[in-house]
Amino acid sequence: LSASNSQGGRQHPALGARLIRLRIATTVVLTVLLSLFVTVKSFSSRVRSAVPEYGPIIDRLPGYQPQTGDPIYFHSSSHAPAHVDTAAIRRAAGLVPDDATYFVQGPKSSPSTSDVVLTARLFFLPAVLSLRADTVGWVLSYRSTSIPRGLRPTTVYRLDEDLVLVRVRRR
Amino acid sequence: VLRVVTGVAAFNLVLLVVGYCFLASFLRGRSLLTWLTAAGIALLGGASLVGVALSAVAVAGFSTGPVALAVVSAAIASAGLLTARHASRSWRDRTTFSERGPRGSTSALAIIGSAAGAYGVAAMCGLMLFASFRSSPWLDDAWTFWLPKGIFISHTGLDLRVFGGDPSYAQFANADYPLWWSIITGLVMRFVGHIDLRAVDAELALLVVAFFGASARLLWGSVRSWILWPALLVLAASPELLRQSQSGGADLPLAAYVGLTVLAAVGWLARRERFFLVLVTVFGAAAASIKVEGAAQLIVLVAVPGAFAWRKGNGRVRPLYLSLLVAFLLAAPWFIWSRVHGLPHAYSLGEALDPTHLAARTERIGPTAHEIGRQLVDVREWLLVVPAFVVAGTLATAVERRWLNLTPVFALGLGYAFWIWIYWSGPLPLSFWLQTSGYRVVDSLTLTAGVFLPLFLERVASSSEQPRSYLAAHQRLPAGATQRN
Repeated sequence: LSASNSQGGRQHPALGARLIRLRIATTVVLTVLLSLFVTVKSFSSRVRSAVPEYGPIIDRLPGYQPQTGDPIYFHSSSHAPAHVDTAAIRRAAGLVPDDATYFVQGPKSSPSTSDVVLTARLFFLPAVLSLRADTVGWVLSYRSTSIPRGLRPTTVYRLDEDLVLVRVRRR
Repeated sequence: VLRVVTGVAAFNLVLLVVGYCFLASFLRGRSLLTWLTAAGIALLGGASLVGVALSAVAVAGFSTGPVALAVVSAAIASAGLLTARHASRSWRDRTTFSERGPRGSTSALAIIGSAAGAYGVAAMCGLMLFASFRSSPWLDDAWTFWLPKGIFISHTGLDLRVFGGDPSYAQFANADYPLWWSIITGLVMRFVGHIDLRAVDAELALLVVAFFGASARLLWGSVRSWILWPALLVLAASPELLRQSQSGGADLPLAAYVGLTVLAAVGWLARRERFFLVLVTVFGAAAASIKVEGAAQLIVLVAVPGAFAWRKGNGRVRPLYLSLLVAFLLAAPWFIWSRVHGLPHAYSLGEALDPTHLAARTERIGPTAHEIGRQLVDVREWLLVVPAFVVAGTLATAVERRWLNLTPVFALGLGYAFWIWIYWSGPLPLSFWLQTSGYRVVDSLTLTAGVFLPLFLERVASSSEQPRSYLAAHQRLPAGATQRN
């Protein structure tokens, strides 16, 4: 990073004008190419076929389907993304107060249960996920027909076929 | 998407203003162009200081939400402006912000190369940023612990129920990881107003764009533009960089800060301007506060190679080490807190240094060396960044006959050895660990190599020009005349 002391002196006006024209020409050519790449899907999809490594950028260009702001339920140990009804969990999150504690109940046999727990954990924040059902005020029940023992439901919110949010009290 | 765009823009405007105020001592009285071209440094500087300060705020028992952000931002900005008001003019005058690059070539090829390179870097940055606003993080770390931790502490601070190992509550995964990236992403989400994970990718991409802005600003004046922009384009167009800019993980921000810390350290050693020492501290503090390996990488890439400059004069190396030490001290509160509260650590330094432990698992060395090495040189991932860096470094050493030029190449080799050692001594099953993190841990090495490539190429070009210039001067002399030295 030694500072260079050879900074350019004044250029001849004709040479300077030629250099500016050359820069402008380069910029115009590249702008045309970039515009084609961004706006013409057949052009960008050809680039994608030739260089699939650039897929993450090309797949987000205008004309391609953007992703939503929801989590992608794919983990390093997954073979395929899990299905979680994020919209339902977002609705539940709107009902659970910030200072609440909650418990998530779901079958351990279901591969989606861990993702439901992680998703609830994200969207219910700053409410705290408890590992013990007997101290909580809310239960998110996933594919379960009952709530944990010792708790009495006070309000039940059916979120979708699999998910139920239950406000509970201790018996 | 509009709420994401406005939220991310508003948050980064705060960081930018904080960064500019902090740098005011060095920028005051300079042209608008200088201020504008320092935007990358200002944004990364502001992000670093805000994140590091809020980490300390969290450790002190407070939440890191918008109120804390306002207080911390006001404090840093005021301190910067007060320093600018009272600092001697020599601070500013001794800092060089070249507005014109070194003498450029007037050949058509060089002009086209320079314009195309600059356009290419800008286009890649633009595409990366645009794509990030339309993508959700593909790395589950982003939404399973980095962001949740940040949102949580932005509301309630470091609640011991979920950070202190209370068995009644679900603990955060990797609770011992530093808080910087969590705090930044948590605040972005507060500015957006609801949880939209595209904001995480957008913030990540913005920091990467700022990294290119900061690198170009720091190299401008030392490297000719027809070398600088095409060399930076090699890094900017790397498929793996573009892919990881949508990961939502902390590896790229860490790599950006490590790369810039190394560049600032070299700037100090070469130019002895205090500005670079300040950058070593500011960027280094962020690097040490993003991931647990941040401080170790700074030792490997800055402190150890810095010792090679000792012979040139320890008057240069001592202040560098001091700046680095201050950076580590700024990051220290979180590490002390996590030790005091007994947060579980996946990696044991004791085991990593235990010869018996290491001897019992030597079969891990070969696969690690192969996989990390492959990640570094795979053209489909990082193009030719690392091979070009090594070749250019070797050429610069050969043409200048200056062994010191090999120091960055040595540092890269040391970084490579460092990661072999980590995987060799670490606790996780090797193939799983390499598969899930091997492609990310090389980021700091590749970004550092990427910002060094223009410097090496400039040295090669200027060295190879010298004999020709000398010859040309002789040829212009009238017949019979002799050159006077």
